[in-house]
Amino acid sequence: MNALLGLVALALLTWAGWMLVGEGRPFWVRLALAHLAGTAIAALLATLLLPISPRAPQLALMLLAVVMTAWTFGSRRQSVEWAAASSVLTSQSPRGHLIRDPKLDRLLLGMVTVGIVTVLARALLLPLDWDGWAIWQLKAKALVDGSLQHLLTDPAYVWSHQDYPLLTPLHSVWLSGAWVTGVFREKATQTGGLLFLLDLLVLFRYAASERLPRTWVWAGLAVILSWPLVMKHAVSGFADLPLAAYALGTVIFLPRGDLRASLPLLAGAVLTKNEGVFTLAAAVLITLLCRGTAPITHGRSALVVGAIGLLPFAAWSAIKRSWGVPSDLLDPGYWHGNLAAELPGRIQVVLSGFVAQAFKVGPWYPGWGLLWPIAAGALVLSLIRRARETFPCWLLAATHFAGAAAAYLVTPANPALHLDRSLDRLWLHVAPAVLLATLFALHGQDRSERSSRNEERGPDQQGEDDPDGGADPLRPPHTDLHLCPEDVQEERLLLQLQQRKGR
Amino acid sequence: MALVALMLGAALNMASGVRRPLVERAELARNHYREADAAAAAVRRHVSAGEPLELVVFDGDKLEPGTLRELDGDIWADYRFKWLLHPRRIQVTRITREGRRVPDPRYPGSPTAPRYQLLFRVTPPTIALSSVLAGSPQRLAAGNGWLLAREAGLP
Repeated sequence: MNALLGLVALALLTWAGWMLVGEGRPFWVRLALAHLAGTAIAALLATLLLPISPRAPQLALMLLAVVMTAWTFGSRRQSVEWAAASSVLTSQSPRGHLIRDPKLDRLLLGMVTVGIVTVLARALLLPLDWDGWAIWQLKAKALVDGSLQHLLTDPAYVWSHQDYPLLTPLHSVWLSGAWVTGVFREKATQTGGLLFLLDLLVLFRYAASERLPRTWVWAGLAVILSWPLVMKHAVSGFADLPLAAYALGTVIFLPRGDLRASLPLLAGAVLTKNEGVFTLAAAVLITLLCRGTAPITHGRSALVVGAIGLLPFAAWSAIKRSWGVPSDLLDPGYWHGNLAAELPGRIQVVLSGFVAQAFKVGPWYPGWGLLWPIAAGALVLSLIRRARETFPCWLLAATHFAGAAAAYLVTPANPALHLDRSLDRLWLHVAPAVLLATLFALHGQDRSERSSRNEERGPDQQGEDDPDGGADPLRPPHTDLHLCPEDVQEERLLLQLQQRKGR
Repeated sequence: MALVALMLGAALNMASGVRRPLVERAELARNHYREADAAAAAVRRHVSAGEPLELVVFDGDKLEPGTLRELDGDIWADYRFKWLLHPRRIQVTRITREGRRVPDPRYPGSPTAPRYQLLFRVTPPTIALSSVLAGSPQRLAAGNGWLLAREAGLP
């Protein structure tokens, strides 16, 4: 019964997200976006309803169901979209273009499979991990029995990061079916993490396929799945992997001016963890600095993005204020009295901690492999030859790194201990985006450059340096163009002009 | 070259990650997690749902002290039982190194004296757990490192 109700909730969230993010994307990308965006919007609704009723998770889903039903019946076009999407799914199976490049691709595909099987094995064999039960899923339990306000204000739970937002616990409540039965199932909450991992992989593949040969794309996926931290937090009940998915999605879709996808994802990031505000800062900067992210001027775009991103933050902050929820890190009252005197020592701790983290290659947690040393080199390469495409990803990393460093400088806990136990997870929030930028920078030329070179070479020599040997059927029509949004805007305008001419 | 280095690191990490679920499961099956689950089950069995519980933990109850994997058993037990037994009210009491029984300083002003107490530690006890029970309570259940008791005279 619980599983069935969980599926109903998942279908509802995905349905809402599906309608919200709109058409014009490959099926799997739209599905991943639909799950992320639907969860974000439902979490925002539930957060807004919290002051009214302790049954906010249930009310939010019901409200969503009513709105979506009205929307669907109000617009016949949606059914056509579903049909079109289904035909994309059936006619463009990715299987065909996986097997074309034999050895290396099979090896990489094997690695990805091993990674996914390992994650599934973790889900089957292991329970929630420490923060999973002590922070995130404890709130889910409190949401189920209506005792959330008590949990967030009772000093007996002061260690449970009472001020963190509620997207992950809400997702668990919905997915476990507990929103109806009131029976909380630990395993179901672990499934939620798996879904966010799949979203992350789909979005990564989508963005990477636009500029990289297939082998590089699969290499990227294999690298992500090789991080012990990813394997662990896909099923640990933590909120770090969901935030990584939201952050990656934001920096993929915002620079294209795709606000239908990026704004819900941004809201999701803000509602997942307090660290989501670093994603918000990155989003505002991307909008401000990257030309053409929206069809209005940069300053105004940044204001719009900032305001929409601030809405969930403001809603959650208002609730915390009215309930009197303590904030253990953001409230200066918790900071050390002699913080100024301690600052030089803390700066040293943070710097050495960051450097040490970059060289934690594995095999135990966090097990980054050689990502961070290589990423440092790739950053330099990016500045030389890939600044435009990689800029949003680096900006995301910069805001998150700066935010994390600031948090360790003011933490009321022992900074060295605090950093040692959490820095890996904070870096996980941006690691997929950093990997994406790294691969772009390392690869050098992108598909559009190759295709223009191929045109110059003539038909006989085409595809020589493209291991895919041609176009990827899953890519949307515009995706072999530049990430830089003004090109997308120009292309849309051209398309519109051609359509008018045709008429 | 950089991609090859990236993939080599990934391959090594993935290879070591494959075994990890089994290793971690085996560890969980024999450590304090299992004992805490058993203790929580005993509480559910013997103590009615609305009844508050006194959790008695021990100062210096640390696993692998001085290492990166150091675990404060007293803190872990506090969090773990509040998760396992949610929403039951749990009041934490500490046994100091000198053997004194004091309210947990992190939760000042604990007013009540629950009639049921659960003693728990993650490291093997150096003295019999029953020797730190307050008053002359009745022992309800016990396991490796834990003991559940209730005030004498209760039905």
